[in-house]
Amino acid sequence: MYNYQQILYTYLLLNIRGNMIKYSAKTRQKLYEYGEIIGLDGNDINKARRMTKDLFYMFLIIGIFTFIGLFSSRLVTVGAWYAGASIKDFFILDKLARFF
Amino acid sequence: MLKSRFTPISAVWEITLACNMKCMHCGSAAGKARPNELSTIEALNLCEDLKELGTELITLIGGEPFLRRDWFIISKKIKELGMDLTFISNGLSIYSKIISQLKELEPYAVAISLDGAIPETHDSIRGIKGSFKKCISCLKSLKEAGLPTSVITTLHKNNIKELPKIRDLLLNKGIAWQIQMAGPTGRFPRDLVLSEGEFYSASMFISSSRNRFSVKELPVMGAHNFGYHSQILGNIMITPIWKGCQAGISTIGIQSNGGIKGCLSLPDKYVEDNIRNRSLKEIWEDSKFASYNRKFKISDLKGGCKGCKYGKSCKGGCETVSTSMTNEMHCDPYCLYLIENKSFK
Repeated sequence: MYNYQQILYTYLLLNIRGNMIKYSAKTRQKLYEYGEIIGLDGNDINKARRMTKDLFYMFLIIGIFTFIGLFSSRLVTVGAWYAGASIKDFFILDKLARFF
Repeated sequence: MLKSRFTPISAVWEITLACNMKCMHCGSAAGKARPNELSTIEALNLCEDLKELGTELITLIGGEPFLRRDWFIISKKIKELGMDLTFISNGLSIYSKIISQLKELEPYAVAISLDGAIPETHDSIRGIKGSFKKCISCLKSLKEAGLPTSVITTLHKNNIKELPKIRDLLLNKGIAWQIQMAGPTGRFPRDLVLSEGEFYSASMFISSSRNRFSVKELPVMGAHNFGYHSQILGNIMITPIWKGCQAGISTIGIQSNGGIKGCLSLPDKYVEDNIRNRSLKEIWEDSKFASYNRKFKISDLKGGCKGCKYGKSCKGGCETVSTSMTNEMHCDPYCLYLIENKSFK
């Protein structure tokens, strides 16, 4: 479990605890500018930003990984699917997320 | 020699460089087989060596893996040894016989490359007329056979605007979709690499797709070269955790002639040894192997990554992108956190 505590530290203390950029009018405008580069519609642009459920999911996944990491190396290997994700990767996490 | 504390859980193995397509973005400039590719016996021994080292998942790629005549023998061996098996193919040579063989193998995934939403785009990128039609029919056949099917889309300037249309094609099909960025390796020209703005825009698309659709409707994710530490966008990779390049840490890349790298995507100058010179175990457990990752120090960070608060775990993003874009490791410029700090603050 490579650098596990460090990852938890990084995400819990730095990312989640208030270092996020405020979703201001300027941010919104900038997102529209970026979205227009490849012709995203308003729906895609508005739904691109992090939502409360993302934060919830982030905590949930970190919890799941901590738990599973005790028993298996497979899911701890973030990036193991860098060569090609499987539908099974999504449903393992989906099922676990439902279970928890 | 001390036992390595690193395990190649995921091995990506180019079983042949022979390919029946001429993709403009091919990172290994595939076409003809390498002059001295591993024999069947060498390949089967390699399977055993990987198992011994603790490998759990082997991804067979090419070139086009199904062009190697003994692909099924190697695949069967992998399964007999209890490892999972993924294939990455262009789909062109997948017909009913191969589908039956794949069913027998029960692979973890069969991933097919789809680079455009319309025949003109896909065919021109892949260099083969009719390849789009074949790709779509291949995906349909794989799904009908009940195989775990994935699509990989490699993004560059020529296809980035087709993302929403590719999404329409894949919606509610039960096909996993991996989106990755093409880097200037192999025969891919640098001027077609995404700009930072296009990269951010594609990241927005992935984030939005993940927010708009359930996993059942659209299981989509950005690959290892997408999505680090955004302060604005939702999660882009499967998990919210990016713990740095895994080359030589938990992954290994194997060339068809036995060359070994930490990650197969890295340029050829990162081939560190060959299994014909010494055993895979000796190579992997050599203290000098993948030292750029195994012995990484914060002071190794360069460019925009220098001084970054995520640097210690991130190690500067994807090393393939970093080296191909900047000629140096540990400074991948395609980082959402970097881009946001430049543009949004």
